[in-house]
Amino acid sequence: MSGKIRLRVTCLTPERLLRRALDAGAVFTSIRRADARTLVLDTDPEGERILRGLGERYSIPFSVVRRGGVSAVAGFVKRRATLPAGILTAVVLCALFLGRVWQIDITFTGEGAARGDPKPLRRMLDEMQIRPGSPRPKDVGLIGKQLEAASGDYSFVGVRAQGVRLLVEAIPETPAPQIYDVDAARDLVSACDGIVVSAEARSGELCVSPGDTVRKGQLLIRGEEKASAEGTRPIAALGEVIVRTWRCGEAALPATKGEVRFTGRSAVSSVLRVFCFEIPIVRGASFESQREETRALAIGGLFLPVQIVRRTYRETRLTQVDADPALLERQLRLLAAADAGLRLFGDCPDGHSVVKTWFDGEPASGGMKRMRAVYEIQTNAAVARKDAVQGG
Amino acid sequence: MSALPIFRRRAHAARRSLPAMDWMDDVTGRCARATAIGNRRLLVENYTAIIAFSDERIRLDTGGGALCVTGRDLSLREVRSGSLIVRGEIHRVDLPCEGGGAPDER
Repeated sequence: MSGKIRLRVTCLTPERLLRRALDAGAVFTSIRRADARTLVLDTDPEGERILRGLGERYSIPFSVVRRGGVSAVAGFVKRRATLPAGILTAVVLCALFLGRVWQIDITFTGEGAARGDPKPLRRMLDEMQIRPGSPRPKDVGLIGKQLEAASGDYSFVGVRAQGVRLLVEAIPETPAPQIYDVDAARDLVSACDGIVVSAEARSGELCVSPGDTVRKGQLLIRGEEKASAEGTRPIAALGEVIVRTWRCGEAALPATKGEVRFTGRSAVSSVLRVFCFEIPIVRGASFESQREETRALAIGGLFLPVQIVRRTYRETRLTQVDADPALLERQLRLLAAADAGLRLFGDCPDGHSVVKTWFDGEPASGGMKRMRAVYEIQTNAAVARKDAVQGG
Repeated sequence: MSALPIFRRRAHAARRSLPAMDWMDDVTGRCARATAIGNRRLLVENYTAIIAFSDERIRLDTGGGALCVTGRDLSLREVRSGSLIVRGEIHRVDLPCEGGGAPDER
C-alpha cells in the first residue's frame, strides 16, 4: 500500500542505520538532518517496516511524525469502519430524496394572473398521482399537455422539474371582451348622485365635465355621433365617468342605563319546613321591588328533615346612571358604520373605492346619543339606463 | 580472500595503458557517476554507502573512494540503493581520486 510516512529517528550513527535500511531494500524520498543524531525521513510503508525492524533489533527509538497518502486514508477508514456504510446510506437517502417531488409551485402569468386559482390545478395533479412525496415524473411536458387538455380555463400550462420542485406555470384564458352592438343605441346615465371627478367617452358625446354635480339618472354620455354635416345617428355610448359620492349611516343609543341599587331597607321572614309543609315563625314585610335571599338551617339531624328557612328581602330601586362614554361611542361607531356600509353596498355600483371615512357625534339630546358615519367613495357612475333603473 | 582486488588492479593497469578503454567502466557501471544540474541538484549513481551526512557536507562511499559534496542546506532525496539526489546549495563536489586512492574515513 503506497503512502508517504515521515519518521524521526534518533541514534548515535544514523548513517549506519541508513546503510542497513538501504541494503534491506528501503527507499527514502527525502532525508533531512534535524540535529547531529536525528534524521527526519520520508519513506513508504515498506521502508517504515524495515526501519521498525532495525529499530527493534538495535533498540533505536523512532517515531512517526506524519502519515499521508493512501496509507493515511486506509488508516482513517480502518478507524472509522462504519463510515463507508454511513456514506452509502447517505448516498442512497439522497438518491431517494432527490428522485421525488417535494414541492409543487403553481404560478400564473399573463393578463389574467390575478384571477388564477391554483386549487383546480392541484386537484388535477392529485388525480394524476402527482403530489409532494411522489416520484418525479419522467415526462413533465406530457403532464403540462394533460393539464391543458383537462381544463379549458388555461390557454397554456407548462410544467418544469427543478430538482425536488415541480414548477407549474399557467396562463389563464383571457375572457372574450364584452361586445357592444354599435347599432344598438343607448345612453349612459348616472347610477347615483355625486360630483364628477373625471369623465371619458370612448364613443358617444360626453355631457358632463369634471366638477359637475350629477343626480341619479342624469345623462352622462349621449349615444349619438355625427353621421353627416347636419345629421347624427344613434350609437351605443361607451365611457367612464368617475364621480365622488357619500353614503351616511346613523346610529342612536340611550345616553343612560338603568342600574338596580339597594335602598338599605330589608325584612326577614322565617318558616319551619318539614318535607313540603311550612309553618310560619316570623312574618316579614315585602317591598315593591326587592331581592330575596334564602338560607336553610337543618335542626332535626340527619334522619329528620326539619329545617328553619330564613328569607331576607332587600328593597331595590332602579336608578338611571350615565353610560360609559367610551363604550357608548365605540358601540355607536360600530352601528353607524354598519348602517353606512349597508347603504353603500345597496346603492352604489360595483367597483367603487372608499376614499375617506369619518364619524360625527352629536351631544345627547332627549336621553339619546347619536353618531353619524360617512363614507366618501369614488365610483364609475356611467351605466346604461336600464341598469340605472335596476339600481346600478 | 577473493581474486577481485587482483582483477581490479589488472583492469586499472589495462585502462592506464589503453586510454581508449575508458568507456568500459561506464558500460559496466562500476564507477560512480555524478550528474550536476545547476548548483541545486546533484544526482549520484553507483554509490555504495553514506559515510557522513549533515546540512553542509555529505560524504558518499563510491567503492573507489569518497565523493564529498559541500554546500548549505543539503538534504538527500530519492535515496535508494545505488542512487540518490543531493538537494541544496551545492558549493563544491570532490570526486574520488583515480585508482581508489582516497581512504575510507569511517
